[in-house]
Amino acid sequence: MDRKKAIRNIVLLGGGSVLAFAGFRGYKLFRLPALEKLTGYQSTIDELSEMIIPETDVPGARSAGIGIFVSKMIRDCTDRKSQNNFLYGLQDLTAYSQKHFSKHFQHCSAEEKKKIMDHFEKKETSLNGFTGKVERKLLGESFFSLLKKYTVLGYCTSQQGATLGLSYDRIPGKYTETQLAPGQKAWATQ
Amino acid sequence: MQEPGQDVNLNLQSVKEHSYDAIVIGSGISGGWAVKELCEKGLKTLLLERGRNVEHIRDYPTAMKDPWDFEYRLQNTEKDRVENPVQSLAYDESCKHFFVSDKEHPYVQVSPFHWIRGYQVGGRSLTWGRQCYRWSDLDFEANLKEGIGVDWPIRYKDIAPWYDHVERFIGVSGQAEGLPHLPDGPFLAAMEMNAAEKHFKSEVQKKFPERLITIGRAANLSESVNGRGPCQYRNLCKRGCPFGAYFSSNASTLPAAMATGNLTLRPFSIVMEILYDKEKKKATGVRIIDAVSNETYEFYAKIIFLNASTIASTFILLNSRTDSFPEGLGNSSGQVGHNLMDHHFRVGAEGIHKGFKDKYYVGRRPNGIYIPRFRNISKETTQQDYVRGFAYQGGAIRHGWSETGKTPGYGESFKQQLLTPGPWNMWISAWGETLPDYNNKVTLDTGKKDKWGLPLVAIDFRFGDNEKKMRQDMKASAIEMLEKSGFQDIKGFDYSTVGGDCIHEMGTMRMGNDPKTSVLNKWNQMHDVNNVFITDGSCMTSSACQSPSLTYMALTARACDHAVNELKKGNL
Repeated sequence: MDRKKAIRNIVLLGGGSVLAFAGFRGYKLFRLPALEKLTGYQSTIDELSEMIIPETDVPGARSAGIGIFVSKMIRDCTDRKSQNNFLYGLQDLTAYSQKHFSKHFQHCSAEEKKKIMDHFEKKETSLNGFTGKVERKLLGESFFSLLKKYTVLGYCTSQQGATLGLSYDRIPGKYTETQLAPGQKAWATQ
Repeated sequence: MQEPGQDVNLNLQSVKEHSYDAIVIGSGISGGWAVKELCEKGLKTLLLERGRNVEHIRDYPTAMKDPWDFEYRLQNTEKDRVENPVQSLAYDESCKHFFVSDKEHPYVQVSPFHWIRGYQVGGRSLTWGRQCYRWSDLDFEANLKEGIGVDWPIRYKDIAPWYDHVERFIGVSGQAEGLPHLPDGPFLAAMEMNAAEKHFKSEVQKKFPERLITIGRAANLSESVNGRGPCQYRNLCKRGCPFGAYFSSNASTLPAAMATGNLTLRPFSIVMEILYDKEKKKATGVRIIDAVSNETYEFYAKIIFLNASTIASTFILLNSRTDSFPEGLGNSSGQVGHNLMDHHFRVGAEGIHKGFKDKYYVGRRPNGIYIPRFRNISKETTQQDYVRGFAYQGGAIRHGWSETGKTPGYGESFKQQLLTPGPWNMWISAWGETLPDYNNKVTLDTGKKDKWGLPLVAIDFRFGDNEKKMRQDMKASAIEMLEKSGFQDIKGFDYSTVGGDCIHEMGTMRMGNDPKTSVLNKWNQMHDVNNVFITDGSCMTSSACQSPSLTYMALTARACDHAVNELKKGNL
């Protein structure tokens, strides 16, 4: 409880004081995001989305055109801090693949890409729970969670994802209990 | 102020053309009922609506859209959040067109208050929650028993036949339960509960005999009524229903009124004030500003029904100042604008059940379960630290992609999990009664003007101690019920809300027996001006914890009946 209280006190002090000692990081977060760079990263974003929801017996993120949707959501439906996080994440990812595999992410093998993805996922899942929530509030949403959130949203509400991946009943006409069928897909809409 | 009849140049022909038997201000849930009743009783009625026309079906542009038809897949943009900070709390991409623009319709928040509005024909009846619960004498007697606010001038027996009348027309699906404090009505077939809800119901009733779980009572048609419906279980009500399967003014009362040939509908008509004749001590009509042309017009009638919604109706009275009523029409009590209430809510709990893995459902039910009030209803259930009570709405679903998509990982196994029904999740969330408080008020800020030059509404509202104490119980009782019925990973929640979030504004022109302490009498008739009737949420003397719209409708039908009788007797 004391730990929680301590964190809460930090929150009460306001984002400003935390960001004051964060210094350069603070500037990086609040600056006008260089959204024009998203276009250059589009094929990387497409690739990342496909890694989250790959093609199987049903379409994956690439067939459903989700990469473009992720960029649109970053551009229009995301706050400035999170937009910056997303762009820095792409930058970090590019730098990481150069450093560890000496090539662009796009040119890495499937196994290498997986290593890179694992690194970024691991880095961010450490931010779950209460501290994670506080961080998100102060510092915006993180790169990987934005990527995943918009990939899932885009896929599950796309025509391909909703009707082929999931199950979509446009006009059910009734509400009734059923037995779960073998291989039953989840409803696309609740 | 210019009073009609005093201007020697008055064009008598124009007065005649602008004269009706009745004027109804506002076309939402209560205004729609007023025009239906008045027109069906033979009165030539003018309906004034400040917003645009919305014609049933034709003007529901998103009703048949699929999720992928929406550019942002029903998420709001940053632009929405910046430009419409209040309305965007309530709308999404599919129903945004039924909410006002905050920029165009500013108001002053003396303390934080979210005034969520729909300025169009049908008002917020297009986007309402559709839950319908009767009040009982537990509610009508509470103020008197506890010495809070003023006594309601009516009791359940006065309104019961009007609940019947309204429910038969709008259609309410539900289950009769025989509870004295939540009276039954002529319900349509109850909607089904699913496996987890049935389990929850039977476990709770075993462990808490005084707590009943019933299916929600909703103005959603499980069977067709008057050519509307039945419900297709799409759960897209807020876009407007092309099947007419839930109650809205547009689908129900307005077509009925139109069919009489007695209704004149005038959209884009912002009522600035109600005109008053101090000799006759009556309202003579209204002055409006045309929202498009900015020209002002006057319309005249024998009776006026004010149904602009609680806060907007308050504005109209406060802005109707004359020598006779310098503080606003019918405000000799000084109560107009005071005692603003809204329900407090968004507190409860949710949990997961590991069972029922073989069960699922077909369809999207626009309704949930309901746990009627079980606190302070008897000696045994009396609480030490607060008065009144709360009720829960809730429901169970199997987690879908919005939850399963949060599980860690990516790739094939993640995708598999994403596309498979997740565990059963049960949530219950409470709606609590808010006590009337004179300090919670709506006033005019005459220093600030809107684009039509009208003063802005200023709202000052805070929840009180009773509400705060009640919330602790609302959360604890929810957790307790889920725990004792085998749910796991239970999370209690108490999302802080500000007034207005529940969109149940009430109380600023309360009914009462005494003209010194209330604005309306037992017929929703102004004590001071007997040909003005107010039957929207502003008439409410207390808030109970039930969704209030059904009661507005019943009070409206009752007041219309009285008004027409009085008119026939020559008393108005």
